[in-house]
Amino acid sequence: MNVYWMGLLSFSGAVVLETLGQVTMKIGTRNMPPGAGGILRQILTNLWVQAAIVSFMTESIFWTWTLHLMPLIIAFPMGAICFATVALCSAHILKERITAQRWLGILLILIGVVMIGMKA
Amino acid sequence: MSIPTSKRPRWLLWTGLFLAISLDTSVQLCWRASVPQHGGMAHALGATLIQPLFLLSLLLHVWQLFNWMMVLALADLSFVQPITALSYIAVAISSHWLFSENLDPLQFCGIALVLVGVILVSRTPSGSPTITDRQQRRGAPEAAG
Repeated sequence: MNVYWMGLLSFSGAVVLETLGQVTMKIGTRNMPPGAGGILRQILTNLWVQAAIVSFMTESIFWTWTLHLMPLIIAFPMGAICFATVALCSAHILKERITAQRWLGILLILIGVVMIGMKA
Repeated sequence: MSIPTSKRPRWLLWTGLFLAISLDTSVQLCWRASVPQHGGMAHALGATLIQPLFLLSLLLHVWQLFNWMMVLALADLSFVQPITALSYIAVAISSHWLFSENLDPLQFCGIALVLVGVILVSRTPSGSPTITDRQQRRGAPEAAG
């Protein structure tokens, strides 16, 4: 397996874990008491928040490998895919109301981020 | 007990978003600077773990976690997550200065598109009505906005 495929594989793992982490974290903060104490309590007691933290920690291992295998300016913008996966999960799993204007904004951000990552 | 949408402080949300973008940019740059470019995967992981920059990024990660949880409690995930795309702009410009990575016209167009996209998203309502909101509105006139 060459370096590009390994980079792509570890990158895909990072995208899945990022999406999973964001969605579970949002579920875990739904009934969170306000203030830093509330946040700390939620980290210690809420299983959704803990699942999100495990996802983010595992993602950072994948991300370290990804950055080792490809330059930041290519690897980081490839994470643009997360804007699509997180938005789709927000709409379908979290039942957030995403207006046409917000979808358009997300699409422009996605294209823009890909363009930032393209090297002439 | 969750905070109803109408009572969520907007300044807190935007301060949190600004902090999230700044922290994200710092973490990415620390991470990038601490990962060695040569050697095997195990070597990369081992060498990364002992870097002072890596330890700094670990601290930033904890701060980022607390801040992100506060932000998520204040607004929709589909509202706050796209706005953090501003960190891509910050990282592209910082990488240009710190690691001498190129910035060409295509990337400037990308930066402009991200900016327009973030403005569009930021002008949509930041939160879907929560169960608490719906309960409070029952029997009361619909709140403006």
